Amino acid sequence: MKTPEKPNLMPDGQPIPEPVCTLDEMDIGLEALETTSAKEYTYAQMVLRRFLRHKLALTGFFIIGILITLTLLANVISSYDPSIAVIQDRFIPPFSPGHFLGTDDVGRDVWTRILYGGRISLMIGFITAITGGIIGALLGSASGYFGGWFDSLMMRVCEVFFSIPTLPILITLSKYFGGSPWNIILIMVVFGWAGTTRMVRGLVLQIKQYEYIEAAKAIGCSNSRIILRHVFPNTIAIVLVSMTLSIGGAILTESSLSFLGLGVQPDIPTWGNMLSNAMNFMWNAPHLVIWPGFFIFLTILSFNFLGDGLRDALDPKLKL
Amino acid sequence: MWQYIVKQSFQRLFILIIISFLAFIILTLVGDPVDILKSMNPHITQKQIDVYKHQQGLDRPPLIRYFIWARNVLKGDFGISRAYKQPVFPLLISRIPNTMYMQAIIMLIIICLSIPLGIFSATHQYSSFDYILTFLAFTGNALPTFWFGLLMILAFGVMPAKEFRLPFTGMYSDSVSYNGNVIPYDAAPWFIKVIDRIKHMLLPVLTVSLLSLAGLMRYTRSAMLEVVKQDYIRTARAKGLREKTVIYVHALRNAIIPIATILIQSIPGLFAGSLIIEQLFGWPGVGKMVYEAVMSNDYPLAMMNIMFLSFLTVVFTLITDISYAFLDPRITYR
Repeated sequence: MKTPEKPNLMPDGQPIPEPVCTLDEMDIGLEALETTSAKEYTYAQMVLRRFLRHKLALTGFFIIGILITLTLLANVISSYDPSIAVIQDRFIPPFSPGHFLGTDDVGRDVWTRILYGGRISLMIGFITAITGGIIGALLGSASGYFGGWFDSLMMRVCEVFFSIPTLPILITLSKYFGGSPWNIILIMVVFGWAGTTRMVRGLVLQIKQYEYIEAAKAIGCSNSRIILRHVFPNTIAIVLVSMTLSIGGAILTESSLSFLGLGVQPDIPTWGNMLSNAMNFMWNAPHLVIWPGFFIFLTILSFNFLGDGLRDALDPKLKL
Repeated sequence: MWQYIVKQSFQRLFILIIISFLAFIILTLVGDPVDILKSMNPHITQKQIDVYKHQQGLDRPPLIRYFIWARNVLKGDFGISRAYKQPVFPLLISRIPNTMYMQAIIMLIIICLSIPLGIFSATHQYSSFDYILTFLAFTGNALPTFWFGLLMILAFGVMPAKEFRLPFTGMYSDSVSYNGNVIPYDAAPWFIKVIDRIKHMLLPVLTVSLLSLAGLMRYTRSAMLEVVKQDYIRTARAKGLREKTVIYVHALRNAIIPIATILIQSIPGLFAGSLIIEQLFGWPGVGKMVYEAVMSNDYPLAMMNIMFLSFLTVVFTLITDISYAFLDPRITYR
């Protein structure tokens, strides 16, 4: 038998008193409480302090800064055109006057091409990693938070992406769509979001059990509010670290594709296709092999240092 | 336990089916094998092309072609390579030993070097040796395989004087010098063949193993550091065991579980990752075959390879999951 709904009364029969504040205000109140209870430093200040003590991360940060500045100022720094051939200047060795890193097989200045190529390579790295990271973070948060059929579906999709051999598929796709840097970015994002998704999901499953989420639910926050205000900010640290590390990975993948002759079309210089071109002249101009690879290496190394330092700095459990 | 294995196997089988569908659709994008036919014979008429397409079933939509492919696979027929004009399954099988032969040696070198180095790094944490190894590991992680390979080729195959150069294409030379004469490879005595093969293997094996050392070394280091913190290690030390016994018997036995699982997990990656290194060194293995298959629009062969690589990944992930339960009695599966 169904018991009739009780009118809104306290257990002792008294009418419920008027609320002191609305639910939203309570929510903000809780957050305000959290910030005031922090000791001497805010979170951001602690992160900055830890980051500044990490020498390798600072080195990485500076190298990346210098590389970005140099590549953005490519047309100011160098007076050569990256794609116009000057046949009489072929294969000038490095450290010659006028050509700091020498010239390639059709007389184009290598230093100029490194700078312009860096623009494309860095752009591909940044855009791929950031887009993939955001998609992964959103899908991972939703998947971990809601669970149920959406979660199982996402996990199956992720498993498909983990088990499929990526490189042959990437080769196939870039053979069909290849050429422009934007298509390469698109292909890499489609095959690059699954890792972040699974990582963020795992983290969210952990966060879901914390008391503050329960508290937010208890005071009646909506799902979207809990995800956006309470779950998502707590995953930012790990997403940021994985984005930093995957910039290097994306640059590596792009250069591998270019190396196999399938990346960005040869008339747009990238570090990968410069290297691929240099392979043909290994016997008479070995220096052509060295420079583009060195810059790929330097960039990936710097991003790895930076990511490592960020992880140490953002992890609040690690006290210095 | 058995229930878990059976349930997981069905799930993985389902994933394999999805992969086969995706891969098939993507591979049909690559292009018609007809393009190759046209480039080989510019005088070919449209009618001949149509007849060929009809014979090969290429005039049907991709979805139908996928189901025909799937039906044939269930019968054990993976199709016929368009470039080699041979059934693809034996073709793949014939290439597997070449890849395994190189990768097994690489794996052996990595295990023999990185686990001891990782343990040493962990037991001497924050020593200068540890810092040097950490720095080298960072370098190894950041070096692109193809560039490091090219540098190795430059340093050992191009720069040295002619008689000291190491070969860097293929598995063996066409002809070898023996007793001052140049004779064909097949006619050479066995020890000359062995030396020639080792010479060809040196550069690719060195390239990959030097780069991949870093990962397993760092992993061993962190696994050891994790174990050394545990209470039972303190107990072992407290009861007066020698440091060597504590590290190599008590700590290593527990650290070996994550190390072993990561090793098992990395086996399919060896095949999938062999593409670039085999392409660079002209090594006739699975990786080179899948690259060539894609580049020559030979999609039955590419499909066979991709399915083989996915199958390996799926099976080895399953094995890793199960081996956790076998190696670590604390884990049970429902």
